[in-house]
Amino acid sequence: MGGRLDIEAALDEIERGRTDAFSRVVHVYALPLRSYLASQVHHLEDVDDLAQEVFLTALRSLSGYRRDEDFGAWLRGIARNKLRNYFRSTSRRNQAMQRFREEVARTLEEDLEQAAASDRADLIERLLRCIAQLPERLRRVVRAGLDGNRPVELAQAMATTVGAIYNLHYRAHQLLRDCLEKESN
Amino acid sequence: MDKDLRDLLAAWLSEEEPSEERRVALLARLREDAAFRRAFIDEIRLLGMLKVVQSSEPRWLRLEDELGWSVEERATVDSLSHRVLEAARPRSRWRRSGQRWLAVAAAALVALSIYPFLRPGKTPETKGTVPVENPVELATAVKLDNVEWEPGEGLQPEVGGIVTAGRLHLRSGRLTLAFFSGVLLTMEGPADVELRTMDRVFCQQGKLRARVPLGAEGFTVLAPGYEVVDLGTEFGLNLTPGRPADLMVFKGEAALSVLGSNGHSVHSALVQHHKAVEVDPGAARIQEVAPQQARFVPVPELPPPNLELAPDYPAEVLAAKPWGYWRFEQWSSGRVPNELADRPSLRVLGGVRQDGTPEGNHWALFQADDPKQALLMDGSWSPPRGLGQGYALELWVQADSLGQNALVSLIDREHGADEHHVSLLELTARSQRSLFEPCAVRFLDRWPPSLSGGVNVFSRRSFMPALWHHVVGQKAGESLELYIDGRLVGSSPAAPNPPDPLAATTPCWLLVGRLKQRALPPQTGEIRPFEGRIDELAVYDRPLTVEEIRHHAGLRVEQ
Repeated sequence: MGGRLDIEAALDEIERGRTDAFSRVVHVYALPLRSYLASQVHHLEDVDDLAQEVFLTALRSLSGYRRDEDFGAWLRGIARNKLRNYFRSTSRRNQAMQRFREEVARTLEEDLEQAAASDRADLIERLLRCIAQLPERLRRVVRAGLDGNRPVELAQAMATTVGAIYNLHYRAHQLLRDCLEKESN
Repeated sequence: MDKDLRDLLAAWLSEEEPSEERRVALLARLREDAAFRRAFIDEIRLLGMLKVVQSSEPRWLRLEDELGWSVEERATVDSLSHRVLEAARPRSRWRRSGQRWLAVAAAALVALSIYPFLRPGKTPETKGTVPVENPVELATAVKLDNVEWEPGEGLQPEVGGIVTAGRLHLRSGRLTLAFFSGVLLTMEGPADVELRTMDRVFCQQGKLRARVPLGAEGFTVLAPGYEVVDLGTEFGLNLTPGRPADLMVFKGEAALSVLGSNGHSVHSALVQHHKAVEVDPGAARIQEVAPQQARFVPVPELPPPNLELAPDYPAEVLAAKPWGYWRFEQWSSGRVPNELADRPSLRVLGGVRQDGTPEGNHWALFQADDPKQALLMDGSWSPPRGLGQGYALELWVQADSLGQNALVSLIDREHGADEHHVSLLELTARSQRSLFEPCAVRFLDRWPPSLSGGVNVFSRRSFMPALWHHVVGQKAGESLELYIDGRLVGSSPAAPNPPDPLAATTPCWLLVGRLKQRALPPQTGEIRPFEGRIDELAVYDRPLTVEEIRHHAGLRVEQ
């Protein structure tokens, strides 16, 4: 599942009233879509809420999808609208920072869309194997963000500086990207 | 690492707030320097991937309801955790159709971390200790009896504490865990047990007793050279290194499999209730022996705390003018009377019975292993659901297990046997059949009445078994609200309703302690029977105010 023909087949079934066929579409696109959203939204709960909203909107708006379009790109288009609303509705103490964030997002939009077009669920899944290959110290840094530890807390726990934590992150990401490239080959 | 890249990331992740001048500089570089832009995108993309791939799969109930996903249909969805687990398990094992449709999502990371140890050609799962990289929360420690821990690394939970994946090494004493799937596991030291996922533990040594509720079947105890898979309800296992192990099934049945060096089953047996076997993996032998119940760890006694309320509690509830109010103080002829004279009573179904303190408060007790039990209101109630209207369901509840348990169901009478819900208040769990957040409460409002769809409100993990909680689920105008112990723990916009009040409601059955009235198998999964205690159930044809809810919740008298 996951090829264009499979998606087409699922969409055909939905058109015939088999709404549950959309579950196959969700299965294929859930991980890349959540990943795309998570690149821009910090809290995972918000990511998952937004992803659900995107799929619900997509299901209700399928008549607006043209079959010659990339379905993933169409979903990300819906996601971008959801993200704009999300950021507007998220109260921030600092309006200047909010404007800055929106400006950064706008500047990145086109390049990020191009980059995300190649994200597939199987590629993202391979990341787990790559994490397992990281040295312990880097693995700890990669994991810490998920546990809710901020760089300053992690720096204290690892008896180092915040700057060093960012460098460890950066190094870990380089190794992970190399690993992913090898895995894809 | 480029300093601009570091600063931009810190700002993007809300770690730091750069000055106006610095923001301008960073934006300028982002616009002008394509390589810098790519580097930043690479970083945030990878951060996004890392975040989702290492997290549990989300629960998307609204989507599932919209799609009408059922357990059976989801069985065909080849989830990430399922695929990896299946790839990692080369050997045969007992399975009932549909039971293993989905490995527990929360355990995905743990499962993935053990993948290298399980893949074909590698060391089988039953050998050695599995490193747990990112422990997930699996259970709550509900009882410790004279526990002494072995020194060194390992989990050492306290009563009420969350227990993650990891190793428990008891020198002596007894520990009882309530898994978020509803499984109750007692272990007696000396014991060395590693919790791997919600439905798999690895035991090197110790006496175990597992009680597995409906929906959590498949709970597996792995041991060196063999495994025991629960196929429903309760078993005990005594394991001493170097000696044959003893297995006894107290209720239901369990599957026992002796594993070869490659992890494949080489000998197996189905052990029925009240039977005992001795298993010697070295000799690949399973031998039936006379059952000696006294040799196994007994079922832990978990006396629930009593619920005592201020004397004016009933008057306060009545002052709030409920449509119906059942106090459970008087039971007669299989019925619980309504405190409002002209309103219907609750009919007792199955073994639900009155319980309480000798001269104090009384409540309804829903006992274990009686999925037929429920309370069904005579007649019907039409909860006001029209534009700007609302209704409320209020009760006190204490759950004995962490399964997915229905508390109050409002079911459209006109759809008859289909049992379409209009409203539902239930406890949620994470299990093979459910991706819900464990230890949470779900309030569902659904219009039109249907088997799927509707709007949900979930609490986050805020419900502890064995403790009494005050719960209110209500539709308040255009909002759905869920309160636990007087606190608003979740809200959601209600679905738009027709302005005509009569077009937005229907006469409903009110069912307590069960999702649906329908018979047991083949619809067992649609029963969600409650186990525990319920008291002071009130339903209102208006939403309660925050002050009323807080006031009612605050009328508990602490013991």
